[in-house]
Amino acid sequence: MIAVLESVTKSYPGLDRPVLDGVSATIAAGETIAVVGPSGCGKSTLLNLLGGLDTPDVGRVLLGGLDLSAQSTDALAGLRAQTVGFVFQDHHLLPQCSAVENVLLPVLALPVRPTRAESQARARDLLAAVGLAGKEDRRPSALSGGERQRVAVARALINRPRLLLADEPTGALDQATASALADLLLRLNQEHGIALVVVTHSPALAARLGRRLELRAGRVVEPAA
Amino acid sequence: MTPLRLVLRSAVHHWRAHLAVALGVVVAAAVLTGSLVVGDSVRHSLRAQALVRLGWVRHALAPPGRFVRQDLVERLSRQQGDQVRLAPLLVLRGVGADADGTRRANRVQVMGVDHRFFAAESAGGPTLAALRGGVVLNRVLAAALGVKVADNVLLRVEKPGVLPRDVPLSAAAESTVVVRLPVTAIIGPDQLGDFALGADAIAPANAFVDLATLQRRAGLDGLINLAVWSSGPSADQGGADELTVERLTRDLRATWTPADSQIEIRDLPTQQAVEVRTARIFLDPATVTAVGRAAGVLTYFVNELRVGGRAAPYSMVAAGDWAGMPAAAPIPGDLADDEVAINTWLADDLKAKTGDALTVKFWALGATGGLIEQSASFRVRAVVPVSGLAADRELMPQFPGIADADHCRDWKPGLPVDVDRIRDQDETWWEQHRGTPKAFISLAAGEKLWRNRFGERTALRLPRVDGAAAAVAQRLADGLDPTALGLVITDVRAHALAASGRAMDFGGLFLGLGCFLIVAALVLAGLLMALGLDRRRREVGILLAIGLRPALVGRLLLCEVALAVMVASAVGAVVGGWYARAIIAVLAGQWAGAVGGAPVQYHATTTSFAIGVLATVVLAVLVLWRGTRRLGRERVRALLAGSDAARPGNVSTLRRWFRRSGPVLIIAGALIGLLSDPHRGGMAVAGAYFAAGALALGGLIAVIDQLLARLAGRGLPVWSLFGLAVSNLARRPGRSLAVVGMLACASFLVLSIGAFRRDPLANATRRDSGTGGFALVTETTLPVAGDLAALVDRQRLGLDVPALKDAAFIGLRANQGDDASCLNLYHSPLPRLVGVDPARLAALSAFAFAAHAPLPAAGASPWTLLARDAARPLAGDAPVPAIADQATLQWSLGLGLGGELDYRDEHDRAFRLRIVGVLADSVMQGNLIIDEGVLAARFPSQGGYRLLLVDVPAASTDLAAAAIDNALADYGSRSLRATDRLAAFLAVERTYLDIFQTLGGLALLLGSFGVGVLVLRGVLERRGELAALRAIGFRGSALRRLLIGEHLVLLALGLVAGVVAGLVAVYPALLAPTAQTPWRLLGATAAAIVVSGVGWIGLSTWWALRGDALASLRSE
Repeated sequence: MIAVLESVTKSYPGLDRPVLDGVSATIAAGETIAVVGPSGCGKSTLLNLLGGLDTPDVGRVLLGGLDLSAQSTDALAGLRAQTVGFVFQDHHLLPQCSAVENVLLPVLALPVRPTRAESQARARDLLAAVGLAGKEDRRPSALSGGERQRVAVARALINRPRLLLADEPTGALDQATASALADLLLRLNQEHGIALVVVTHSPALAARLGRRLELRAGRVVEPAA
Repeated sequence: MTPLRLVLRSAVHHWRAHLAVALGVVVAAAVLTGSLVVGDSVRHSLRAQALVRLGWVRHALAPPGRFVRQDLVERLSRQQGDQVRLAPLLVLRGVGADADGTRRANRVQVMGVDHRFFAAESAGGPTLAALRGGVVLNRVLAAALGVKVADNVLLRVEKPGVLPRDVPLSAAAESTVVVRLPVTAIIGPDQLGDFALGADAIAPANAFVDLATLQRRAGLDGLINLAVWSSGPSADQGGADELTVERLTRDLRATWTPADSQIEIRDLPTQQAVEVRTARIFLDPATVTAVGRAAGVLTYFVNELRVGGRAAPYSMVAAGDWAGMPAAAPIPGDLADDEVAINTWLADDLKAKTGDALTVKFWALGATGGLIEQSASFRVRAVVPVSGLAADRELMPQFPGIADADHCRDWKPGLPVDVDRIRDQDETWWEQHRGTPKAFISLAAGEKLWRNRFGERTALRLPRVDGAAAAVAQRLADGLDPTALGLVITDVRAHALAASGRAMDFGGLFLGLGCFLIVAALVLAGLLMALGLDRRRREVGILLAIGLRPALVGRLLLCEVALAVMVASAVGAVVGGWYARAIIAVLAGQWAGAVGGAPVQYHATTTSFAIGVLATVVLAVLVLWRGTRRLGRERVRALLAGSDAARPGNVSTLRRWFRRSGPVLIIAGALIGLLSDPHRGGMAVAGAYFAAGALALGGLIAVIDQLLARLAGRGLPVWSLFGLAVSNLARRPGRSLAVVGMLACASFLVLSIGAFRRDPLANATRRDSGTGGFALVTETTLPVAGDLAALVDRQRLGLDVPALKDAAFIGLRANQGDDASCLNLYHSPLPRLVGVDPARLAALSAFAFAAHAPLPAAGASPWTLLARDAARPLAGDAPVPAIADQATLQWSLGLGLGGELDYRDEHDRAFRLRIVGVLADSVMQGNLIIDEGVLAARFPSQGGYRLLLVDVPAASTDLAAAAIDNALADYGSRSLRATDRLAAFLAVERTYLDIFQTLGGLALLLGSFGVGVLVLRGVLERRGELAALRAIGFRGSALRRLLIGEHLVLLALGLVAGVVAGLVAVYPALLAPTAQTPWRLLGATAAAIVVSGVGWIGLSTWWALRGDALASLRSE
């Protein structure tokens, strides 16, 4: 298993009930999972916990066998750098960096960095893989929304993560672009064996993924038989 | 991608935000660097001034209170060759006046020089003809007298006697001589016009006359008291100076002869003796020691010799080592200390015989500086014939005013002589025997009666054998170090440079005065940086999310900021140069009091610029580092969402405690204020009230913080636009508190500095005030001798006038030390010593002590700590106790109670001073006060009083001052109200406070600008929200009222908190009837703050609300 959630509960101040309430789940290597549910049901929280961006109040999150709650801030950062890739709804590209530079950002987080040539080559290959060959040196302001999101996907893959977490990656895209992005994610899953967990409101995208994890009021809803 | 590349890209991309931060850093760098440059400029100016004053002079020989033969200088000059420049001078104190006496100048240095002093000094220097044809003035003296070339001036010049005028047997002849001369040239400082050996920021008043002329007029033919040397020729060509003090001293020792120091070795064949004596009457102890085994003589002029009802007036009595005399003497060699041998003439005159009791009456110097008649009784041991040694008229030294007189009635000995008492037989005796003593006592008895600070011998006699005179001369040359006679060569240039180098650090001073401006600028920079980073929360979140460690993210942000800081610091350093020029310009004008009027020229060093840049970078990075670090440690989730972590639940423990401590701080401040007595005045009370105000300020800010936190937590029902405005304050409580805190702190500091303004007139008539209760302080150029309580002396000095009938004087002696007051910027390694009778000040309990050593007895006055054994003032090795003003100790000498200072006396003997008392804010600033007897013993040539503390009724103070200055005009008297003198000293402090308040005011304006930036930023962030309010029907005017209302509340809170706390701090000053608090300045500052704050708020609101509301909505 890549990641395991064991009876995870998470609350935030000011809210009447926990955002996640005793959620348990497992993610196998190479698996694709769609996390669905109404707004406010805890989908993004689940993703944050999986990625070590937050810690549960109750329960454990194991990533690569390591209990994330027991890790220091720096250790969590290291895990994110080497094990997890993030794709957000808002691409969050740095406007002052070109596409290839944005893709290379996670390399700065590695304790032992590959050579500059290796990193550059990999970044360009990834941009080519996501269909942005020839646009490596463009700034985000010179790219379309879909292109920016693809740069974000390439960035998430630069350190060869075993788990890719995508929080509504197509939420800000039009249908055609969203479909293309979904194709890309699935292709990368198949080519690289990366486990894929996607929070989405899109039934079409959810249907294309291997498993479905539905949350309601912070709890996992068992799929209907 | 590398970290450096990311930093550079980010720095360029966010240049606007960095520019805002940079502006704050530029201000900080400008003030910091500019302050250092001001320090450079003052130091450089003092150094340049010192070097210009000295000109070519490097070394000097200036025996205090003594003269040497000019021939010594000529012999040294021949020995050292033409390569060495050497010039003799005769320097006397004097008073100058214009031709009709309407304008006068005290403390004039009258210098007799020859062609070697000015030779080819610079183009336009005075010629020899100019010197011989009249007097050359420097510009200072010419301006003071209002004269130009060809005008006549009067110089009243001190005419030194062989002994100071206050010593019995000094001549009664005129102590000054008037010289009337035409002005032949007026020279500037670069022509040696301001020549002076001492270090004083104020240029001296100099008059140069021909050396031979001055020697002749002053009765000092062939004598000088200053010799000056240049550097050696190698030094002039850039090499090491071979003319060191050591070498010059060796040359001096090799060249000097006893005759150069007025020591005379005489051959007395009749007495079968070689005699050593001096034109100074009394032989120095060092001379006596060097001569070695010899028979000593101490002869004195007595008022009366009496046996029973018969008396002989005005005779000589000799005390001697009669057994050791070379010549056979009829005088018994084993006289006991209570025995006297009289000659037959006296025995006949007094009808005296062996066994009779003989009383000797004589004048001695009393404790109050006047003469007192003392007497001593002896038993007549023998009556000796007037023959042999008993007929030796050479036993009498050359007493001035006596030795040269043809008749007794022509005597002018400086002692009261009633010529009516002189009988015919006395005249006959004088005609036949001149100064031959009529009575003889033992040497020990004579020492006991007549020893004084100059010595205990008037002559030494040795057996007259072949070569004895030469042998004695050789013994003196070998055994007597001329330095023991005050012939000490000093490197005056090194001393001057040291005095300028160790002068008051104006760089540090202006750093301190401007620290608030620096802090405000850096705080503003930090605030602007925080605002800029706030906009990059998502960016920081993604960096953390993709795995960069928080520390790395923090470092990346810091490096970015540091880049901007480094550039800004460099720019700021350049601006600092202009800031320094502006400060220097004001120091020449309105703030001249801070530099005592000394001219300051701009001078900057690379070192100061480098330090300014480096220090600013370090300070700015330290201030900004926390902000960068903080952001990197926030929750990633919150950063990605762009939400503000400053929610009520996220407050640190420290912040919570601070909020709760508000009432406690206010109560603590109130207690301190209540427990202090505001009427007492003084720095301690001012400090207490400042502390009370500061606590109140902290408490008020904490209360406001708590209020904002509660508003944020609970919210308020919003029923009005004002209610909405108030509730908006709590949305960003941290930002609101920053605005309130900045304004409150700034206004408090500016206002509360007024607490430290002292009123020099407060309680000025009290004995325990800074004036000591004295109405006047009089300083004279020439010493005033006499007992100022005795009618005879007051009549002699012209002080017996109606305006002074109720006046009481306390005289203080002074040596020629440096002015160590705050009015002299130069460091004063050897501050002026003044000597006082401690008992007189103790009896009055004069002056207030800030601290003192443990008292010898309960209830004793601290002045008693100065007392030494009057009979043996130099006994023991213990340091000499001294009392000084607090400002002198703290700022000039860097000493405190118990501190010690090394000093050298007139004989170049080292001794130590120990501070046993510290005066609080007194008119005695600049001096070290010691026992009068110690001063006289250490500096015997400094006779008379040069400082007078005068008690007169308050109503007649001005009349008394005029009367004293009129009577003592020839002494160069200048009387000042004691309160005015104190005010002059406090003016320096007042100037510093003005500077602090001005710079603080600038900081306040900077703070209000920061408020404006905060306002603008906050409003811009809320554009969408404001647009939504427009969309739902709020008019533009309503929105403006909303925004302005919000921020005016913050402005008002900040100002009220600062003003209330500030008023607590200045409470004592408010009570003083003649307080010096600058209400106008403070009012103007407060008004500027209000206007500036309102202006910025209005401008920001207008800027934010301009444009199309719907466009804002769309962009949201």
